Amino acid sequence: MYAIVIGCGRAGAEIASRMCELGHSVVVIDRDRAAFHRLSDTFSGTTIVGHAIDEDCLISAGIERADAVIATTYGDNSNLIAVQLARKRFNVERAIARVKDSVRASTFANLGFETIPSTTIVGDAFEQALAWEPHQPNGPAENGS
Amino acid sequence: MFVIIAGGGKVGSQLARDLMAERHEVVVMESNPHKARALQDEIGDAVVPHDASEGRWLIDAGIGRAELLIAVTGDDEDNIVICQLGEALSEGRARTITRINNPKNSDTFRTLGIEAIVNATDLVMTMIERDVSVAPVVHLMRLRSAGLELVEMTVAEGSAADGSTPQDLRLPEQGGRISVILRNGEAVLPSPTTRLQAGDSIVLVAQTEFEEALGRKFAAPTIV
Repeated sequence: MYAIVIGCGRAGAEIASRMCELGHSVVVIDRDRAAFHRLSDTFSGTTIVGHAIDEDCLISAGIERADAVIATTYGDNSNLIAVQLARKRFNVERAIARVKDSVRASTFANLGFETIPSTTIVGDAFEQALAWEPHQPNGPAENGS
Repeated sequence: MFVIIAGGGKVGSQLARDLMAERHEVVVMESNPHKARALQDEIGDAVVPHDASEGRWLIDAGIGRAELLIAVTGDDEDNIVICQLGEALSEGRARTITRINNPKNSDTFRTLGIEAIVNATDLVMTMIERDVSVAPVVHLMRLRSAGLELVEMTVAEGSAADGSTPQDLRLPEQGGRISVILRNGEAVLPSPTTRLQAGDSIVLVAQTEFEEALGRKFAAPTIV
């Protein structure tokens, strides 16, 4: 598989490195060259300095033949524009955006775009870890609430 | 009319003042706390000091009952997503208007099917070329109170306008005047015999009551 990872923060670097370990071809784009230091030693793909929604940059990254675009920049909006471009302009089969804002994530999911709602996922993980029962207002264990 | 303005910079705050002066209900959303506070001192409760692309704040600001959402932040991606979010959260009831700050982005956004765009940079350039000393938005509001609208339309293939000149279309007689043609990223000042072509973006000054009829000559108009 040929994948473009946009944004080389912690999440982007992790995904890019994991995909390389699985044997996929990966190009990582970030506007800051220094971000690429986050990539692990197992990363065997290429890096491009550029902006998430710059079409020239996406074309030079090979978006026209990409199987997947993974948008993980810090900006929800940049990620959402990048996946829309990938789907509508370049007909990329899979385009997934990391979206921190839960409302934005579900809204764009309803519009047919793949989103990873990171805040919701973290919230769910905490809830699961704590494994609290729903609060019983008349329960015996609560004091002064 | 209830209007939400995303972005309380120069354009957004001036729009807010003008709309409020015309007794519209206005909410301005500004995420920069310093700018938001300064604006609060001037127009009070009408300021929501948060990012308009953050869904819950857009809902809080009243997107559910907004008739118009104007996105004029300094960031093109933010503006586009704010409009898309606003359309979805209002279930299509809110009309949305935005601008492009960087002309390089205009093709990109058009391919996303987003047509409600005025290229502010182009418009400002044109205003300067034509020796109009007022900022374009202020200018728009003055036009509106005079019963005129500034509208942008795209010449659709096969429409009456495609291949015609303003003279052929008898625009002045019908309450419209083309102020500028945006073609391949360039602003062209039209003469009565300039031939329009499919794909041209036309910025047109129209008498409000004729706007709909004029729109039929081109395509669905987008109100600036």
